[in-house]
Amino acid sequence: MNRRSIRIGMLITVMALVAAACSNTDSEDTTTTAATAATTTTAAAATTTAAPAATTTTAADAGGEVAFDIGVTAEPCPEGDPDRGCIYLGILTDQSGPFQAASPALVGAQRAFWAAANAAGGIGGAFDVALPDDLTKDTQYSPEVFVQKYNDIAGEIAAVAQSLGTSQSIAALDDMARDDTVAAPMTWWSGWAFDENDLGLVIEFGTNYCFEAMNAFDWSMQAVPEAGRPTPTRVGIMAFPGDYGADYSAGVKAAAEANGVDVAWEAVIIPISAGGDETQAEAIQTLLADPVDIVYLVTGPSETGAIVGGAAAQGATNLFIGAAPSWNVALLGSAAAPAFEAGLFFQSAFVGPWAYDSPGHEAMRQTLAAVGITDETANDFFVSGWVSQYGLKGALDQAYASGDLTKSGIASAARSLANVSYDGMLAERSFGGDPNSQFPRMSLVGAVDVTQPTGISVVQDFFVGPTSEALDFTAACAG
Amino acid sequence: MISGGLDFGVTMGAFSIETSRFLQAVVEGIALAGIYTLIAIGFVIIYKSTQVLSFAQPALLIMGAYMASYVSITLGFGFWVGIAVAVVLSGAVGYLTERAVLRPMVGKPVFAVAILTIGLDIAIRVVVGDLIGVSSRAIGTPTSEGFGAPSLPWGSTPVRIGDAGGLGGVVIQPRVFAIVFTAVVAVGLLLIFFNRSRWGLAMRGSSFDQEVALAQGVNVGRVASLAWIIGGSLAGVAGVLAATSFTGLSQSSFLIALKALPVVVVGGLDSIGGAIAGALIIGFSESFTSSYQSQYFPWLGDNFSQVVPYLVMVIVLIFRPYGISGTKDVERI
Repeated sequence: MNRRSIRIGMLITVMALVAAACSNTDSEDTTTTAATAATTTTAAAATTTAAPAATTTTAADAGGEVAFDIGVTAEPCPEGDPDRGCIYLGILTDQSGPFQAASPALVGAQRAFWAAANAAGGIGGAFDVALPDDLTKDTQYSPEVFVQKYNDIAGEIAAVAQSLGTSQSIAALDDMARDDTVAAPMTWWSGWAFDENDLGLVIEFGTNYCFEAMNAFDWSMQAVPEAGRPTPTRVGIMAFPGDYGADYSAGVKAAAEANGVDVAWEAVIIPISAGGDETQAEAIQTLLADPVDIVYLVTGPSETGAIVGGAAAQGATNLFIGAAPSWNVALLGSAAAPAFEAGLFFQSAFVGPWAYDSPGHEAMRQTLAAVGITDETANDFFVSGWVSQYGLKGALDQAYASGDLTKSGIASAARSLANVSYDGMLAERSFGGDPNSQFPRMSLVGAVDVTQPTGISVVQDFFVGPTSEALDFTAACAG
Repeated sequence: MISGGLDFGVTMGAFSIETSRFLQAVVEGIALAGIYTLIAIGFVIIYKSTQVLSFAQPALLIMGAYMASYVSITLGFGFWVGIAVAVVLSGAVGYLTERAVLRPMVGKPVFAVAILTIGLDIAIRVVVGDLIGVSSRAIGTPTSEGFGAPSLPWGSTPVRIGDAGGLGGVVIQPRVFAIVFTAVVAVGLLLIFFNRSRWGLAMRGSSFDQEVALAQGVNVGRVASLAWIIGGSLAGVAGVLAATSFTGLSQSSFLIALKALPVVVVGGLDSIGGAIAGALIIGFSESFTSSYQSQYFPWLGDNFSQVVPYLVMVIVLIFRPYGISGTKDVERI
């Protein structure tokens, strides 16, 4: 073999390894959003200091002395109200991993939420809230990178507005506890309900994957026979590896046991963005070889399209029920659309879709319309981003009202939050008590509806199924 | 609200479940091979004409698919205009790449040029990824509007052969027919071009020996540009066909082009026939692994089918470094 051929062979081998590695992260595919922000602030005024920082005080316009430290300044936010101080929030999101497609909508909605909140008086009429670009970090959906990025911004933020990923958030919890940093999660792990898991720092919203699955399962046991199909006796689960798949699957299995239904098989689905098979032929073969009445999909939209479209095309007539993140309206424009339009797919959800009728949804739609997000360009990630901020706003409001906007003051407020209102998007709830009596268990079920902006209409409004209602919720369902 | 399933366009015969499974794997393998063929041929043409290993093919692929989606759906001009624009623009970007970026690199080390194409690939994909945005996109379906072409919805009227009334039978999506037809036509046209046209002859001469070709009056620079135009256009067409899948066009759609690498290594870097053979080998390896691995080799783990193309590549590199049909270089010492 001559030298050139050896060089080319070596190069190809190296490139193949690089390509395989890159296909898992897509790290170069940083995306931006059409919904960029109403609050397009640029630089945090707070200086990075080694904790603990000195506490300072200021006279708040709304009255009284308010103590604050890291992430809060008496100076206004860039482009903020000049008569108010500024509270800086960080965002730890996934801009180059498996959820990179969701990130722009999540971040855009969160910024829009705070733009609306600032316009309505901010925090106590004395502080605006800013989520600047330089405090928005790409964690690559990696726990290690998450911890590093958190520590990069820890000295400049009052709280984290988005903490995306369960294992990622858990990895940074000790550091967050060190800094008294509270966070709004973008993860619905059942373990967040318990202080031993979240150290009282995670302000979760909506029910968790586990209850969502239980409710959907219980709904199907009633709705499917009513629609003239046989009562389900066998189901299958196709789930991503990790907390999302495990928590939802645990809910399905618990509900199956409670209803006397056999879980015939569980298939692990590797995300396509992480190098998974884009045809999902292996999973489809599993279903065709051992048909079931319902397949529970704990995947992303791309995998849902491949599985539902591929299985239906090969003659499968079973129903599919997908977890909230498994759906995207774009599937109605894909080759799998006929399968969805044939009524084979249902979506369980912790919150109503974009077009849902609630004051919070209406406020969200109006605010986002101002930055160009309309029915034509919306998706339900915007809803998740928007609704995630109510709890955090409640904590900041409560901390301000108590005159303590220091990190520890905000953390204390988060641990004792009471009667947080979600403007009708979710049921009012409190934090800090016994999860078994306090944690919300309600969820919805939607069906594909081509007339709706995000392709889903609610067929079962908020409800609590018998399985989740009966559960003695004393520990995480999985993990 | 809860209803039955899909209506099938054509059904015939009756196969057992096992026969159906085998034949379905064949169909899936052919579909994959068709797309791999288009990408790999572009790769081979560029390599043969310019000695450049182009790692920019994934970017050209996803850009072509995006342009087709944009013109077809967003602008509403329909599928046929969309695919035409995809072919033209992908070829144009290929041309610009060659003229603006690679021409100045003539004579530079092969590593440097290859790395440059990786940089181009990343740059283009970041931009296109932004344009694709949050949701996956539809590519559109051929309709009778405008051009009198037959209506061909990709997923609604599959042909089903051997349906025994249950889950048996082989399903062939319209997209599979489209992929095979396109690949066969593209290969046929390229063979005619290389064997019958003046420019085709010039490209063959140039690929054999650039200095001799230059001495015979061949404009080697234009040959290189033409190679990139053809390679870009083929990648664009492959992108459109890949986006007819159930997953549509998303930021991850470029991943399919990464498998062109094992295809050309298996087939041989400088052989169009080898690229076709490599595409079939990789396509079938992948589809049969998807269908049977979990049953017979479950200990290999989930998603092993995605590893198989690279495994085959490594094996071929060890035992036949020039691939099935690649030219074995002879160096006089």
